[in-house]
Amino acid sequence: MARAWGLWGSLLLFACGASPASNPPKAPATAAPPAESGPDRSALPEPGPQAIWAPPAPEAWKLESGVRVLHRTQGNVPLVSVLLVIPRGSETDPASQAGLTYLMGDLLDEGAGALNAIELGDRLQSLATDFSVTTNVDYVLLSMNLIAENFGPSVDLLADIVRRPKFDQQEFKRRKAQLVSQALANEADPHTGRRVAMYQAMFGAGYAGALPTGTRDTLESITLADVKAQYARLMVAEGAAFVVTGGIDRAVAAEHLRRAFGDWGGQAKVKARPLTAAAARGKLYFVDYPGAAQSVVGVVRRAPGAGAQDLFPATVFNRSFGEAFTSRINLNLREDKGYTYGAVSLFQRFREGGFFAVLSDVRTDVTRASLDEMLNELSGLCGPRPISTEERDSSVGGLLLGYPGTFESIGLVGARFAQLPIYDRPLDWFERWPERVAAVSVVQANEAARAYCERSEFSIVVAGDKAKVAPTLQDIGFVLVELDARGRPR
Amino acid sequence: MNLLPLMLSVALEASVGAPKIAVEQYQLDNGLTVLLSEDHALPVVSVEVLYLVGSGHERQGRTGFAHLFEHLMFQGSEHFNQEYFKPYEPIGGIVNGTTSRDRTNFFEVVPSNYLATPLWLESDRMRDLLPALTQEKLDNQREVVKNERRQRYENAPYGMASWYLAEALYPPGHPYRHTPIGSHEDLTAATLDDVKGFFRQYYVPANAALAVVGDFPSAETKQLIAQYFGPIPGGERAPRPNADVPPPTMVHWQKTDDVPLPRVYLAWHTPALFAPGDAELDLLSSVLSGGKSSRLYYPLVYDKKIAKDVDAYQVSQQLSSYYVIEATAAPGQSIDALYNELMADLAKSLALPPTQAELGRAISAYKKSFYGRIEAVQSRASTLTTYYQHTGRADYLDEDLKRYVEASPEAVHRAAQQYLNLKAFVRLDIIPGKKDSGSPVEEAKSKGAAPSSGGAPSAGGAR
Repeated sequence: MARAWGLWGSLLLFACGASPASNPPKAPATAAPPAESGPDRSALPEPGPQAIWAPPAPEAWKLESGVRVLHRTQGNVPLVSVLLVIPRGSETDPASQAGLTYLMGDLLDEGAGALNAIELGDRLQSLATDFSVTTNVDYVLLSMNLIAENFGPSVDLLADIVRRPKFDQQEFKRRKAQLVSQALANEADPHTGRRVAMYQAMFGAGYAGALPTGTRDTLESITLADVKAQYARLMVAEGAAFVVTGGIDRAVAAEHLRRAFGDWGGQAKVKARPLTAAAARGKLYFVDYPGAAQSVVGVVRRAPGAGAQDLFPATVFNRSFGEAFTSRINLNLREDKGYTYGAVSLFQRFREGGFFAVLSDVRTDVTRASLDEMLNELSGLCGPRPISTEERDSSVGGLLLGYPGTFESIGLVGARFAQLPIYDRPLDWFERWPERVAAVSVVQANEAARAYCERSEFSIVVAGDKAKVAPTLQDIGFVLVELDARGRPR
Repeated sequence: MNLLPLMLSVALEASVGAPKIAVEQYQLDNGLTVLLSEDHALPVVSVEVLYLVGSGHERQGRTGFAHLFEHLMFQGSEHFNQEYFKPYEPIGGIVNGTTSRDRTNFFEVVPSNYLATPLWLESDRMRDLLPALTQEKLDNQREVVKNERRQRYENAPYGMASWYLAEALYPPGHPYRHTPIGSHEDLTAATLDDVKGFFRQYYVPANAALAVVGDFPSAETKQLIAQYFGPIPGGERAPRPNADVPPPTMVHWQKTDDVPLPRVYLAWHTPALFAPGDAELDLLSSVLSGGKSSRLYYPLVYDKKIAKDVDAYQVSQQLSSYYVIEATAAPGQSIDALYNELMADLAKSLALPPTQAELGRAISAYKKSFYGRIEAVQSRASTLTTYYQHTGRADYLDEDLKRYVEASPEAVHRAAQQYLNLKAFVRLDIIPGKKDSGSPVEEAKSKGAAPSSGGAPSAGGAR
């Protein structure tokens, strides 16, 4: 019963978390009768005493060039995760060239230093080093997973990739064609249709309005000269940070990073597209997928970005409303009505702005009923059904007690530390996170919730079978806007 | 092109030995197998209950039932007859279950001081699921599962391919003939009596294993397990489904989907999980499609650009496995042009053994994937129950790793030649068009069958 959410591609998951201090110790569960008598089935067992655990903070230092390094030794296997965070992303793409930063990032390892694309790929494989690049709205993230023993040569390769990419014309042609065909293939997935429409509805032609991966049309317009210019403006040391986690100590990591990146410099010369003043409201965006077995839907409105004043209260509210399995949205649409395999609400918070959305894949013939349920659940927050104390307690408890598990692998720890330079957060962010969650009162959770209950502030997005669904939505009170899967008006 | 090959492979050998995981394995009197593995790095613990029943055990007309039943396990049991996830929310627990052709598993990850909670809840539903089960719960989860089928198969590009492949690979009556999701028709047909019979036959201690991995005190935990699970009537270990590996034949199906680019799948029957040849074929996948210079990716995607992507993988299963090569056409390329080029390059690829460098890269990648699998407690628990199911021993990591580390280029070549018969396989084309809805085989276009020229898969298959 794996719950598959239609989540879109942010590698950096937004927090979850928990404090060791939140739960008073109780009697150990082991003071129990002997096996022959059978267990007590009258109530769930009491927990044992809480383990002592402190959330980790990274060690931090700077290379000569000023580039920051965040480091933590962790784990008992000789694996290391190395991330290079460039806190500038697709928000700097010109509106007509969405996908420019993505294509630039994709080309970095298609030949660099003395190695051509094939040689570089083979070299990474010989080292058993996995390399990938992720481009999102606010960042480019270069990632290596490697065996500790090969840290030095891997970092040298990373320096070639970052500082000496070849940008060969033939490789450019090949990769551009590849990304265009991927964009074409993606259009067949109604989740792409919903995503394109949702970003457009929330952000228009401004900040975060286009997919970081671009569309066929925008990718086609990009030249190699454009890519080189974007590289020169964006892939520089200003604001960049390394995140190194795993089976490697500080001295070794520092020595290799100094050798390969100690003299890496440069000032960024890109600018983010400005955030549009307001998002669409009262609109019904429809992307037609004839014959679709389900409608992929969203009810969405603008929300503050990563620096939201009500970040913690909103996190608690959302867990009760649509994040947890037993949240209102999922219990209603899945467990009560059987309309869907899963329904969820979430905040997508980019640096400058974000959105709040209720999302689900629902059976075609109950599309209208599902949207009505979502809108009713939202209205209920300000009317008859504010977040209850029990819901607040369950959400806060879950966030706090689930926190240690979110630091289990070096990949998870690395991804969390990478948030610090991207969102300009202090080093003690993860240490202080539990106390901030624990401090959220039910009153504060409801204040946060009330910002998301007004029906007229939302827009609806549907990617589904128009012939069957559109007639049922005529009187829903939202104004129809038709788009194709590339976001073009129809 | 391969730089510093020798020096590096030596370095890898030195640094990546078999990771050590201590496991204690024992059985309760009622036949429940218990697997314990301690790790106190973080205050979290994972519990997994494995039932030795999967969609391969389903009877005619009840495809999808094992998975539907898995959903019903989350609908409450006699002493906890309410939303099953509820107690896990305030403690930040992770809870889920999965169903494959060979087994069903349920798992939780909780703060270590709450270990008693999943043990209590798992034991209660193992013993007393049925008193809490109602027609209403069955009907609701039937709808949820049908929506899961729509979401993951019908409404996903190329999503039905695995369903078609199963029907093309396995004859009627074979336990692997369908994927675990089942058909709408059979899901509709499932009754409450089916549910009861299934539970009584398969959801019993003798047909299950319990793994606890992570931060827990050993002695107290054993006592708790004895107390919670010990009194449950043992039942019997269910027999594995019986099936011969079908003989290789040439099958060609064409299906349509609402996709812009055609895709071709090739599939062969191959040795079962852990049987000789299984690891070698896994390694072959890296040689064929791992990295830019791999034997299929380079000519098809990098050089000729006739394919948008190509992938090769072994699907390891208990009775017998299958091997898949899939390639998606680049825009403007026809399915037949893609197929012809793919076959030509595949023939070339299989003609020669992997080089030491190719095999070294493949082995390094697998070593690293072993670390990934045992890094977190939940996937470590699943690794242990998988070992137990297929070998009888949870403590099998060294042997498993050895299959990869000690594979020779010749052995990989032999497995490729023996099992990937280029004259007898399943070819499935997914071509752009109006979406095929799914099940009936009669729609499939079969273009004749050539007799097998290669030997039938030998090892580990039919039993």
